[in-house]
Amino acid sequence: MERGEKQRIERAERVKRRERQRNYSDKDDDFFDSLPDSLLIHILSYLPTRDSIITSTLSRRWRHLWTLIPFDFSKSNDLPTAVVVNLNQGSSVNSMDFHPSQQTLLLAGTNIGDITIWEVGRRERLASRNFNVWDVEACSMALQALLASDYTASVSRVMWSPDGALFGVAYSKHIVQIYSYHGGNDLRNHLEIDAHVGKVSDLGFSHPNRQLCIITCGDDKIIKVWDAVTGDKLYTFEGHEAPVYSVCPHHKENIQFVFSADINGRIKAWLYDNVGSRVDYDAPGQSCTTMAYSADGTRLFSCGTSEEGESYLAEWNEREGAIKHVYNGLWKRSVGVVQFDTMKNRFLATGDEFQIKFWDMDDVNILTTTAAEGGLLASPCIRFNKEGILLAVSTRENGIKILANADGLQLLRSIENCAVDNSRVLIPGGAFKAMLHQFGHIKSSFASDWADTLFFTTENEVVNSLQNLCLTKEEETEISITAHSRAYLLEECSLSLFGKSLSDRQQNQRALKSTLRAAWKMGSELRIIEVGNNTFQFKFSSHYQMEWVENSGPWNFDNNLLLLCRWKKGLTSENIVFTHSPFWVQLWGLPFELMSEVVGRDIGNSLGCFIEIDKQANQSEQAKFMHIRVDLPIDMPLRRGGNVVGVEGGSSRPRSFSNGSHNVGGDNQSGEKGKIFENELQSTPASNGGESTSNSSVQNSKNSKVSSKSDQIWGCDVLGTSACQATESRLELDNLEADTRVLKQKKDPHDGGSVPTPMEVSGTRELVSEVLSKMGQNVQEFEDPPEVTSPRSQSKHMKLRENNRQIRAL
Amino acid sequence: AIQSSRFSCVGFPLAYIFLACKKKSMALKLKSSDNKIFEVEELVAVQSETIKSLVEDGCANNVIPLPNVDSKTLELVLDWCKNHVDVKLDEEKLKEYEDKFIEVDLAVLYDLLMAANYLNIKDLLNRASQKVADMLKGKKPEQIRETFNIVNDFSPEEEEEIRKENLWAFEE
Repeated sequence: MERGEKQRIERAERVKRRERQRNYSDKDDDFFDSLPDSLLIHILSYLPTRDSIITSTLSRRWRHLWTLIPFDFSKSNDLPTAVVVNLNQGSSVNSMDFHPSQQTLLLAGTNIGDITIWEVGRRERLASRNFNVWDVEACSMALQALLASDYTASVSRVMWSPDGALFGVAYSKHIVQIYSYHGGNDLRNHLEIDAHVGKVSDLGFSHPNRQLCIITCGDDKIIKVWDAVTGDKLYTFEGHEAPVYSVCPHHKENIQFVFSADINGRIKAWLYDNVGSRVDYDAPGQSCTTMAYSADGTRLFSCGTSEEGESYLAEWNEREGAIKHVYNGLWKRSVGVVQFDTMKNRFLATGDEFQIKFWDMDDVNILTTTAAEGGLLASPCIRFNKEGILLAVSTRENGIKILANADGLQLLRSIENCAVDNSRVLIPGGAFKAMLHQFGHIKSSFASDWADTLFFTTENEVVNSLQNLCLTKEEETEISITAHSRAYLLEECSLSLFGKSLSDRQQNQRALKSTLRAAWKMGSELRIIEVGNNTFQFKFSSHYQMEWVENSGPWNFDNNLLLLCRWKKGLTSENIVFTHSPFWVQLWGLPFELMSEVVGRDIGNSLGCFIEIDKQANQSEQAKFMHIRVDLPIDMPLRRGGNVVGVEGGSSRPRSFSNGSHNVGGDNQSGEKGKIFENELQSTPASNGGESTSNSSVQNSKNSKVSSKSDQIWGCDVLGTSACQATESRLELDNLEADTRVLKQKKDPHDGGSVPTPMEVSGTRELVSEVLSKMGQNVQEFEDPPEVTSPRSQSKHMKLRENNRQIRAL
Repeated sequence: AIQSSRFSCVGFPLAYIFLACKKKSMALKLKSSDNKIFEVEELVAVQSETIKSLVEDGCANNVIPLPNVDSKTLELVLDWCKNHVDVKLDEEKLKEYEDKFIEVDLAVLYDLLMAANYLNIKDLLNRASQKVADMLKGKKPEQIRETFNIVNDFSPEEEEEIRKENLWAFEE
């Protein structure tokens, strides 16, 4: 049925088309009537935006045509020099390439053999691979031997195929891998070629005879041409007398050829046959050279560095094999081989002398330079995207910086926000352009605000918002925010966590940011913004990251607990309240029959809100305690212990001695008890002596600056009923340094949190001595158990003895 | 500013190779909609992406039929192609030629647009589109309708509505 319907429509369209195709001759005919829409849009693209909008009133057919004009960056001629994105690659980037059609897709290869596809607009890693030989068996013996001794390789070149469906990776050891990319994170292995003996230094794609080929060159002085579909070797070009450094496939007047350059600067050109090299040019200064054409394929350039470190950038007359001119301004002491790229038909850029240098193609003198806010390598790897509106450059700290011009900024911004609802719908260019024109009519400060607020994904939305945007003079002072434009900001907020360091002191913000980024293994894609009141907003680039941070907590910075909460609607830095923080709690001394998840859940819920139980710890050999994660209320004192009442009616009443404290040290949940007790020792005397509570927090913050998870230890050993009576009555008053700190914090008038009654504090102090004496008692009893063999419990006992001594000294 | 070459050049310049390869270029036969046959060099004809793909697929051994282009238009188009294959022609002369070429009445312009679109000749299509765009530029909607015989199928209220949407474009 469906097919019948389709056929019917097709037939109708064919008739219509035939009607249209009758020639325009009669003067009374509509000139445009029989031209296809695509052609009309093409014509409109030559008009200024204003004129193209005017055509919307011509007739119904023209009503929306102008909104379909594609983005045209070809007239964008300013250089991308503004640093807009920092990506953290993790290892030093050796080669990059932008996707030929998707402007913001960047492929990067590194010195440890990693490759990554970045969505630059969203600062997101779409797909990533480590160095891995897919089929070792199929490799040559030489490579197998190499890999057996050292299974590493660096990437020497990455490159997209002209249609962007494939990309090739050349490695420093023999092989070339071809991947096929299907959008998103869908990256598939396509071909693995054991291409050269030694390093593969460059690769390129070309279309001789209509079939896609891969051209590779390497240390074995040979250039090889491979079928990109089957991986068969088609041609071998021999004739270089030194390792071949680069290849540059090109075509001119239907003649397909390949330029190649070796490390001694000898340049040869090859046709796709087995006759051998046709030309023999010498690069300036016998430099190790790469060659590239301008975007329109008319002008040939080369750039290279000689052994002495002298670099040359030159334009060639390819026909004569002569150098037209050598550009001035390159360093004479370059490190490695200087990389360069061409931007459309106008500019050249090199990465040299810790900066990026630009030339106009028609001027031998340097046009401008930029250091991209510093941090570049001596000879950074650089790459323009196809429209020349973005520029990627590798940095010293294993990262990539993206520079953009005005159009690049627009593009990134639009993508950044299109992406939020995960749709890949592009903004119709015409409409967007018109919007920007309108911004020109609004006050400039307005415009920047609105540029942040207005993001559209569908044509309808654009049209709607344009309707809402009728700004005549009377309306200019009043702007109502439309619901759908706010949605995107809400979306961004929903990817945020808000955090506050539990300290009354001013934090070193830079240290906090860099420490957290390092601890969370996120680079600059994690945006940390101080939103006032010592509160931070952490903007994550993905939901996964946010959840990871949330689930791997609690986090400490400078020995102070970092409280985190999710964003809620209407939250401001003034009204934000932190109520709970997750902790890992160790339950000691539980009867064996109660070591179960159900019991853990019950205990957890009595403390706060149970989150999870560490099953691993429970199942491993060391099931001496139970490990549960509990969301504890932070305005309540941390409890030292509790009684477990058996279900059978007979109550086993454990008694407690131990505590939780904001602990320093590694993030392993066990093996840190020693330190935990240390904290307790420092602080208990302080609160006992009635000293100021801030004193203890200062003491603590001196300890360390590592952020980590902290543990709360619970000890419950079964006691006789007589002893527990006293314990029971005082349990709720058991109190610790940590909670006094909480209280102190909460009393801060600038803190918007709920303020607990100071009653609790004073009550605590009166009872501290009793508590301490009880602790001493516990310690003595605890020293008896037989399990002294474990080193961990030994250390615990030691600490307890120390504790004991201190208490006695008091 | 241009520095003369002080670096040696060994072997044949690429230009000779281009020349050698060019001689292989063979003649193609194109048939217009009114059954006239044009014989052109391959190098001229393959500026049309449509013909190029036919040649590359090996379908160009006989006469290539072009049912959507009449002989009058095809002659013009091939003239354009011939002038664009000869790269020796310097830019100024080429521009002069193009400007003269495109100075035609609407009916011919229409045919050129359709032919360029069908044959997929990028630079001709761009130039013709540019020409139409020039005729639209800076005109009022009424003037455009008059020039191109466009029938206004909006009611006055609807037209006013559309105007309001982008008032700034219609002001002055």
